[in-house]
Amino acid sequence: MRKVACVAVGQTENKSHWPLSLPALYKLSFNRALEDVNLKSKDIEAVVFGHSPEYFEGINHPEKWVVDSLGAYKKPTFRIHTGGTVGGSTAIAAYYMVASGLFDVVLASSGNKLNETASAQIGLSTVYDPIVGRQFATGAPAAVAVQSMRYMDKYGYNEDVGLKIAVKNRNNALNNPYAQLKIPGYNLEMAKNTPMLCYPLRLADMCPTSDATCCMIFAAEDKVDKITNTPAWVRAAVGVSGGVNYVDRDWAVPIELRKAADIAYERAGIKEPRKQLDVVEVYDAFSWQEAIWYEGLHLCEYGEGGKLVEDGVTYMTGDTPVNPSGGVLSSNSIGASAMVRKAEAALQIMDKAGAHQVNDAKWSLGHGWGGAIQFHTVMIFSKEKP
Amino acid sequence: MTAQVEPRIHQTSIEIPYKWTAGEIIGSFLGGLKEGKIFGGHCKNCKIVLVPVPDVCPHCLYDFKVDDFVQISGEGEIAGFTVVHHKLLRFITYHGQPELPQPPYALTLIKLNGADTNFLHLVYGDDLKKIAVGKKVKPIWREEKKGFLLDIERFTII
Repeated sequence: MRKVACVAVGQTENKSHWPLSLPALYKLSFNRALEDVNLKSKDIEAVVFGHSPEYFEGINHPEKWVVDSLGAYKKPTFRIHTGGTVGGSTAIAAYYMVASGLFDVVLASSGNKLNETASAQIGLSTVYDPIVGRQFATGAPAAVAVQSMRYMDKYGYNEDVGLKIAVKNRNNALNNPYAQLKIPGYNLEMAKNTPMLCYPLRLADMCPTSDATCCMIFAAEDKVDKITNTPAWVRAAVGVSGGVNYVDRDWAVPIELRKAADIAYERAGIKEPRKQLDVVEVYDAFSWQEAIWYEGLHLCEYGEGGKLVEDGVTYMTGDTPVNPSGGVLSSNSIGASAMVRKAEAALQIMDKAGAHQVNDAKWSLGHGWGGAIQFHTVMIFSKEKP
Repeated sequence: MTAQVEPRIHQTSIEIPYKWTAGEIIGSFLGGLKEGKIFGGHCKNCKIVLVPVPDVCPHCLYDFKVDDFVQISGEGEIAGFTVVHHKLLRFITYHGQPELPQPPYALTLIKLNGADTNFLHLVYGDDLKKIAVGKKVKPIWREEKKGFLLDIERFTII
């Protein structure tokens, strides 16, 4: 396998992008990815396109409509579609293409315009088993509420822990120009006063609905120097899925993420993740999940995720800041979200994260989540060349 | 012993409303149709005219502006077609847009004069008797136009 770096990242703001069409919104993040690197569209040899379920926008095979605006005309291109974690799978696929030696420079791009549908939750309700699973039409919130409740009960946490995570991430979002939810002075009291949607989840525990796209460009070792002085070297890229039959399992225990993390840490040579990782971006679509993903990523033992927040470890001022960007709790287009986690992790290594930069970040991790609790992607970056 | 039932069908239907942002470029193209005009986008780099006008030129990634619009007559030449006969081939109804005709109708690629693209539209009625590649056509517009491709009811052979 060849050594590969992420050489460029481009994102759009998370918001309602009226009046940009879907192809124009993709072009925007593509333009931004090319902005401060020595790279032109013609230098990119292949394009991997993401985008989440067709049901969200009612457009089947959206790549047919969109990829021309990503410079894919007459280039090898294909679409990846793995639900919520699609942005992560798309980045991983582009990495594979370069690592394998088949291509030198590959673009990964993923996004969504969730404001085009009456509600993404209508589409999300159709992901369950059509005969015995989806009659309750719960979308994601109620399913994650069950997961959150199970986690609270199992380890004896109170409601405040989830809200503290939400408050932490929303305050981080104030430093991210691309974040959607920016509420100055956001605090626990304000979060507690939001409506209860499905116990224990209040409105404050939920992500917003965004339009956004993201691009990442991966290059082979011998091309990297010509493109940028600030590469983020890919040290591991792993996707792990469990079955969708989650009846006989404990929703509070993220076994698939543990598996993905184990593989990724082994490949990257990471022995003590909490100590070695300088910054982490996780897919926190719902507040409580962030605590559960800490455990999946070995940042702590099972049951200690909530404690990590209460001890301040994952705040910007803590040992291991998690979601300096504000996370998915502050911006969620779904299609871009899992890629943005990787892109933000790469930006931290490139020293290009702006106001939410973690000082001297040498190792970072970006995570993605999809399905009910069982699809996970993990990418690890380092400043040092492997 | 549990009750045995024969395999059965589980039947429901799904309705999901959508709105799609056309954006300034496609939006202006549709706005032209509403006024009975067909616009092409002239790419200054590639020196070609694309109909309908995309947001981005696929050849050079130029972002089209409304200033690049050129009006074309709508007359052109049939470049290819197929005649749809079977009713079952009309699969889906998009609520809100002008209705498609019942088969038979010809899905037709038209090389519009002044444009470099083949434009997909319909030919039907008596024209089906004489439809052929190379025939000259012109658009028949609907009286009430709403900003849809089907504001052009069909093309007719000149």
